[in-house]
Amino acid sequence: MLEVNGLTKEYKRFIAVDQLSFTIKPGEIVALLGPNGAGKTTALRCIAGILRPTSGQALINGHDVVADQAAAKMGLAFVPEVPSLYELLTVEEHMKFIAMCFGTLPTFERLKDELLARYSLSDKRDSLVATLSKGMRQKLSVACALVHDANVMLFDEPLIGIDPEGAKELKDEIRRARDSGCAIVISTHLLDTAERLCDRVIIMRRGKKIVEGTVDQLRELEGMQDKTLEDIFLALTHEEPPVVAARS
Amino acid sequence: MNTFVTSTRPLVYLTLLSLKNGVIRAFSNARRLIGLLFFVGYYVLAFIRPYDRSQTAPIPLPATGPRLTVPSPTLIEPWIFLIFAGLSILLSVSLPSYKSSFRPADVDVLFATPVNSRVVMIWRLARDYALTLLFPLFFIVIGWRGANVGVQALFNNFPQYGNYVLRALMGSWLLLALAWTCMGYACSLFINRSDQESNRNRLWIYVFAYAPPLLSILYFAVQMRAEFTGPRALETLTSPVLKVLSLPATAATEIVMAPLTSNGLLFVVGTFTLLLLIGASLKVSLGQSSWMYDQAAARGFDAVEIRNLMRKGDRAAVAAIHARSGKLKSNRATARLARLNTSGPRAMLWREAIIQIRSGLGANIALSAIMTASVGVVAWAARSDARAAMWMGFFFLGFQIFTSLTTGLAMAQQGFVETLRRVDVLKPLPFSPTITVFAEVVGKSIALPLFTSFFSLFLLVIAPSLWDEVLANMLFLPTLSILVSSAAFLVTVLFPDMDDPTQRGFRSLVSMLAIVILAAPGLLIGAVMLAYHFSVFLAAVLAGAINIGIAVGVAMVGGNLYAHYNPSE
Repeated sequence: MLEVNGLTKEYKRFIAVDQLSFTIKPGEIVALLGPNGAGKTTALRCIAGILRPTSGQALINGHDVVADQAAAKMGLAFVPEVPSLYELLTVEEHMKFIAMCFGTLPTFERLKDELLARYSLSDKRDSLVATLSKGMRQKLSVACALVHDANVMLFDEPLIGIDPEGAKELKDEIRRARDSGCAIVISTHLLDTAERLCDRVIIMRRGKKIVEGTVDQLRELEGMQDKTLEDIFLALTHEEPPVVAARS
Repeated sequence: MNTFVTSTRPLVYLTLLSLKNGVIRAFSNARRLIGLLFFVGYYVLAFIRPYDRSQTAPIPLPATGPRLTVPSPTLIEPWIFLIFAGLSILLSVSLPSYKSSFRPADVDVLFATPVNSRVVMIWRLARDYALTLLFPLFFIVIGWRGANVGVQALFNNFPQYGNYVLRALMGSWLLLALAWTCMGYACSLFINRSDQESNRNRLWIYVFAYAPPLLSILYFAVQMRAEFTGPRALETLTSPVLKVLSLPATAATEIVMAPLTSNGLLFVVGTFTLLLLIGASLKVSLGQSSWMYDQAAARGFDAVEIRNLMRKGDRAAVAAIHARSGKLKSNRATARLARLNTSGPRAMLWREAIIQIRSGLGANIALSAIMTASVGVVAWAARSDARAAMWMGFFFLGFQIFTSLTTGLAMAQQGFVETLRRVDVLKPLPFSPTITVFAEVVGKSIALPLFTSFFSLFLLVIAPSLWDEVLANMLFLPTLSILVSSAAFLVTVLFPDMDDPTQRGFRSLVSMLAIVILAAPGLLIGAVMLAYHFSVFLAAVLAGAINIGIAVGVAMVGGNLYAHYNPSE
């Protein structure tokens, strides 16, 4: 279970994430939506313990990701948008490294062949990561997320750069993880995917959560009846251009 | 303890595999292989061989080798102190700067795992420590010939001490380097935090980092001003004030000197002081381990991209990254410049001035200012010795020419990559290719020498008798810079592929050759005129005119090549 309470990340001159709060229960997929610069990636990185929140907290299975980081991260898997991996490790070595970090080598040994095959990485298992294409790296990153028993998974734009077959496989994988009781957050620009894959959506703008709920609940907002998620998203995140007084 | 072990295991695995795969990959590339051999060789020779008991026999000297008399141990001390203080001052410069040793993979993969962040920090610190140990390598390579005489003399005259001093020097450096690495982490992590505590105390960290070296230099200069002699310099180097201001260097010196002066207490105090500094800094660093993740995630990706772009020589792309991250902005100086109106090819100079001010001219000017201040301090201290002041003046002028050449070449090479990239913008402009190229050449080369020449006016204050050399320098430097820039353009347009490492390497090599050939006529005429006692000013005028003439010729040839340049080919 993931619980985010008043999470705020400030930089010198601006607030990237502002008092963000939400809870995701086991077996639930939530989409984090928002225009560019809304603070989605920063929020995910704070939850993953990569960025240190200025205030507020993220609890993973009840463990604070700052105060009790090791326990919190034990249940977490993070798949970044453009995965930067260790280029001088082979595919199998990379997965093994992740398993060692999480202390799940036996699980890895049991699952590695299946995972490599599932993500079409079997014939690349001895290739250096440096030689992989962008799509293959994405697949490896997802495979790495599955070598330990995570029950909170964070995906940052997971479907960008993956071919249609890989995208379908990944969506199936996410659903499987949900069915096995994982709490999943997906940051995405693909509204169709969010509507079909996710149980709830959170829409952010300028670091703040502006609305949260199922798509049906969002349709209950004033003026949103019979609208698609895309229409709702655009209506909620649209910013009026600054008014410039015409000179006569 | 268990957490430490479980966290260390994957890091050991990662490091060993990366090393193994890196070494295998090194054999596929001669340059990587040479780098690897150099790296391993340095560690073996510098840190392992002095402690190898099988190698304790005196180093055999050549029959015709020097037989110098080594002064008493009390006169060795200032030299040892000078080495450690010099290294300390250089290391203190980067004390507050962001430690960019994390890779994006660390951020995306390692930081999200339950591996203890303190263990990660210690691991990373160990890697940075290994790199810090390499720091004296550059000076060893440069100064080996001179230092070798002294070392051989030491072995000849004090074989038992000679062996000891070499070992103690290396041992001291091992501790001193660790102390500076740990202090660097403590300061850097604190300064680069994004919280209020850091904002409030940042100034004090800068004072802590920079006040001791600056005060040391100032104190030394004041002492030397009273009496500019060798004995006074050696005496000052052992003064209590410098010892306090350069505490880590003092401690390292005591470790080396203790047995030579038969003072065991000094050894203990020196070792204890360095261990205390290491322990305290490490504690402060470890307390900020979560900030280390934060900083690496916020800056690591840019740092890696900038490093890659710098390797390619793509300065404009680096500036673009800085602009995206908000570090580069339209400031008052560029806003004023932007208000100026001009037309024709001068507009290209106007554009170039704005871009250069935004993208790094300031750093080069600052470097020149620091150099001027450094020479100024020495010249000020040497005022009682007119001859020394004059030599400092010549050194300064020579250094200015050297930095103008190297910096100008780097700026030109990087700038012309951008010129070729913007061919779709530049070619439709209503100028002939020669005019376009000459405007680009002048635009990229004129600003820096103009500013640095201005600094040479400072010499008139400290060495007024050098007025004609200063004026000659102010006249000659810009013309030399334009010539260098034109040569760089010619080579860039001949080898324009910035993504091809072979072309990149070849471009640098050919540029140097082209500069030597093209600058030779002006420099030769100038040298001949000086040899025949013509005025240095007159020599500069003639050499400068030759430089401009050659630069125009090169621009014409370059313009012709540029006219036929097609980026898609």
